[in-house]
Amino acid sequence: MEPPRRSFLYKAFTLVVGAVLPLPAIAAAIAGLMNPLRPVVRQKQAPSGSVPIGKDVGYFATLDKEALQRAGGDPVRFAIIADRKDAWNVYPKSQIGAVWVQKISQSRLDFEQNWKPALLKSVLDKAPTDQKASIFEDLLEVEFSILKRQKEQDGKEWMPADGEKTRARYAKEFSQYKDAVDRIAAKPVWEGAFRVFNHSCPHAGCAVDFKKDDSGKPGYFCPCHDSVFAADGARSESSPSPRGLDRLRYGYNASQSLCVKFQEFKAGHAEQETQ
Amino acid sequence: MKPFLTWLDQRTGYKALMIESLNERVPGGARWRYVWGSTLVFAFAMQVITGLGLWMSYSPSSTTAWESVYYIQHEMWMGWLLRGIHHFMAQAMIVLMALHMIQVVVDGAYRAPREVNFWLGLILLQIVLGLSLTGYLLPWDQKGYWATKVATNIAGITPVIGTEIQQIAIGGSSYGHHTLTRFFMLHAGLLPILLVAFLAAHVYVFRRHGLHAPNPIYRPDTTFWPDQVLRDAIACLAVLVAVVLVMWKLRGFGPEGGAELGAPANPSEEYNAARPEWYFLFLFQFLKYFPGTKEVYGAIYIPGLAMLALFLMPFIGKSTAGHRANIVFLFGLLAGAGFLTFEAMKADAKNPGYARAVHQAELESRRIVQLVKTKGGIPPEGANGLLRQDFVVQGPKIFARSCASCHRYRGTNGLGEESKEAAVASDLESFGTREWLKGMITEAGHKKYFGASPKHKSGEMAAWSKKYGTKMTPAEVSAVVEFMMSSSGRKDENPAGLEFQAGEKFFLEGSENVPAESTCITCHSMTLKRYDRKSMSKEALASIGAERKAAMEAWEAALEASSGVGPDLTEYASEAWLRKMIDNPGKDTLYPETNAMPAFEKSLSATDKQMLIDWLLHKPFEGEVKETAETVIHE
Repeated sequence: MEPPRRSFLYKAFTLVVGAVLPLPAIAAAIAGLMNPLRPVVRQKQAPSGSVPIGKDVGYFATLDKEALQRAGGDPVRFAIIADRKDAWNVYPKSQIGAVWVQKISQSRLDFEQNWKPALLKSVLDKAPTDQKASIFEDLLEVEFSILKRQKEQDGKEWMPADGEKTRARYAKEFSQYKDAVDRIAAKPVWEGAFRVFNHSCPHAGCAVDFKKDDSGKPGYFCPCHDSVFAADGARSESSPSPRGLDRLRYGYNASQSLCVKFQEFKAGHAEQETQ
Repeated sequence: MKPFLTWLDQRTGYKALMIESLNERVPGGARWRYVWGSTLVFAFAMQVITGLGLWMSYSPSSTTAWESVYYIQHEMWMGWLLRGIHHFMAQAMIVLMALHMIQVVVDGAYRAPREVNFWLGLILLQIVLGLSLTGYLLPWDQKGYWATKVATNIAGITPVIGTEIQQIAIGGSSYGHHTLTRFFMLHAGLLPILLVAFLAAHVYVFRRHGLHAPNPIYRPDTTFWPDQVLRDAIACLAVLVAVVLVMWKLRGFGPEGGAELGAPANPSEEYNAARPEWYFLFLFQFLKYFPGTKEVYGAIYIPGLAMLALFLMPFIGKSTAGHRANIVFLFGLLAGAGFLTFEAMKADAKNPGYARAVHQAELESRRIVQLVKTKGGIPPEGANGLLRQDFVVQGPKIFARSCASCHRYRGTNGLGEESKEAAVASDLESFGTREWLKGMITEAGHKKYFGASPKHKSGEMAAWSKKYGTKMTPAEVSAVVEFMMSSSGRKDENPAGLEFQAGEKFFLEGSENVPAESTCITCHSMTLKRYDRKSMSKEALASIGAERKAAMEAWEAALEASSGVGPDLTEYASEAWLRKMIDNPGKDTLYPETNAMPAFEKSLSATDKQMLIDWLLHKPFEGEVKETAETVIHE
């Protein structure tokens, strides 16, 4: 039988109706699929129970200083506890992550905790002559990190101009150590008394372990794809991880307890991006 | 019957369909090498049946997924068999797909006009890999959780759309309920539907072009039914037998066998044995060779190019040389994957940390089952809470975290890891047991006791032990040990023997070998309930006999004269004593001068401390499966 000859419009209209029919269902299903991409869902709420430091926003968790004291110079893993939201549930006081914290040295800690503007000079005055230069360089880095932190705790950003201004000021004040001031100013990160890292490997998210290798050199090691990081978090050349361990900010709350700002970053990227 | 069938045929035409499907011509005769496609259909049918069976009892959410799989595995009638077949048949499918592909490529069955069917097959391959990837997560055990975390993080580095893909897959920015519901939708819904659709197209196109016989004059032509069907059926049977045998050989039958179920996923409990399923190990290993930002080559570009090369095979294979190149490429790919798999396994075999993590994971997975059975069920918050409050699992972890920088436990950190540094305090494995007490008396300077500690090594106890402990008769030693046991009342050891009275006498007066001025009580004070006036009522005091009164007064006089330089041994090594020691070892009555241990009063939570104490004191486990558990934990 010959198919009946109908006009082009007839066929086109049938196709349009046919195409429209499943659309509402498909659209609703796709909307459901894409739900995680909506800004409200995507935006991570700051977990409850944090301790604010200055005007700095974000989640600050308090750490137990005694445990650090006990560990001496070795890093300690701290669980970060907060209310964890999972779709329709809230789990109160759950572990939402963990950090590695290492005290770099007691002299840095003493300096940081007693810090006031002229402390560096007075420490230097008391130091034995032959050690002055090395003590200065060590503590200057702590001082720079404190200045930067103070600005950030006021809710402002540390700009390159701030760095330059600070460098010039110290180079003038401590002109005999001008080279040391330049060296410290040029460092990409100023370490204070502590190193704090998120324990997630920036490669694919496994938890890194602290270890001493066969030669006794300390560092972090990922049990999944064998990424290796130095004690200061720098990645080793051959590591699959695209960047070093994620360094977290720390500070002291009103009662002088050590607090870390807990943040998570996307794995697999060379640049840090918050999740 | 026949009239009914005729009636049915007139209305449905089923006979023609049967003839059409069964009388397919097989050029060159039925052959074993054609069976792979049919075995794959069979395997898929098995997966559908067992999958539906599992679906009846599975509940995807982060507090019910592991729990419902536990129920299937351990409590449901034949649930272990259901899971076992599903798990091992999935692995068989991967092997069968490889064989099917080898047969198709070697026979040149991908060449015109069968290109489209070859591509359909490659798509089916991807779907099956997708099914196994999504299925791995569903039990929500440690293994599945961490492997999926890695896999989705790797998906996240896909250029341009990576982040979005990752967030859609896991249902947000962290892993939880929605990760499970989404993976379950893919695993039990979308992917099977796609698989059926592509399988239908695959079979339809196959029928359209007929079977490709590499050698059409091998034997006379035949029909699909029954010659080839018989071979297919036997091959399917062989697959089934192989799957059951492998399951039996690797894991055994019964709720403890079948498919593995690890400890419940715990995002805060890092899992150092995270590995994908064996057929993805080559990709896992491959990633290790791509440092830093080059990872995207190893994870995406190179696998993508290999897949592209497979898709181009029909064009490359047009010439004989191209066909040979295809065969070489395919076998090269398989050999490369095999080599990488071997390398991954070799690296893990050499890594003691990995072996420990696997051991710990197995231990926890057995322990959680035991806990659920002891409690009679799982609380609604999920099974993780049970593990988190279990001293058997947590005790050694707390020890490793808080004690192992100085102490050892059977020479390790409690979790089996040996430290590179020497211990500076005692090995607490046998703490407070008869063995320990005996050692403390006769060889306190041994490194298991005070020998490791710089302060105690040359301390008074080590010196006493060397001078007098070694001279004591075995009967004296055992009497003192029983006396100490009578005071500690330790539950992990048998009750104190009657020699304890002789022990008390020795403690107070010494013996021929140990002069009274050097006996225990001259350094250690010790309150005995039966001689403690403060804890007795007036009536009780008044009713004491003359003999006991004399002993009491002698004890009191000795205590009065005691220098007290050693720690107070009242209930030594009991729970109360250990708690005091952990809280504040520098206390007057313990080690005020020679202490090197930090006080943990504030830095250990009450529950952590209790779990550590229970573990150190070898608290017996609850539950009827106690025996097996103890052998597991102490093996």
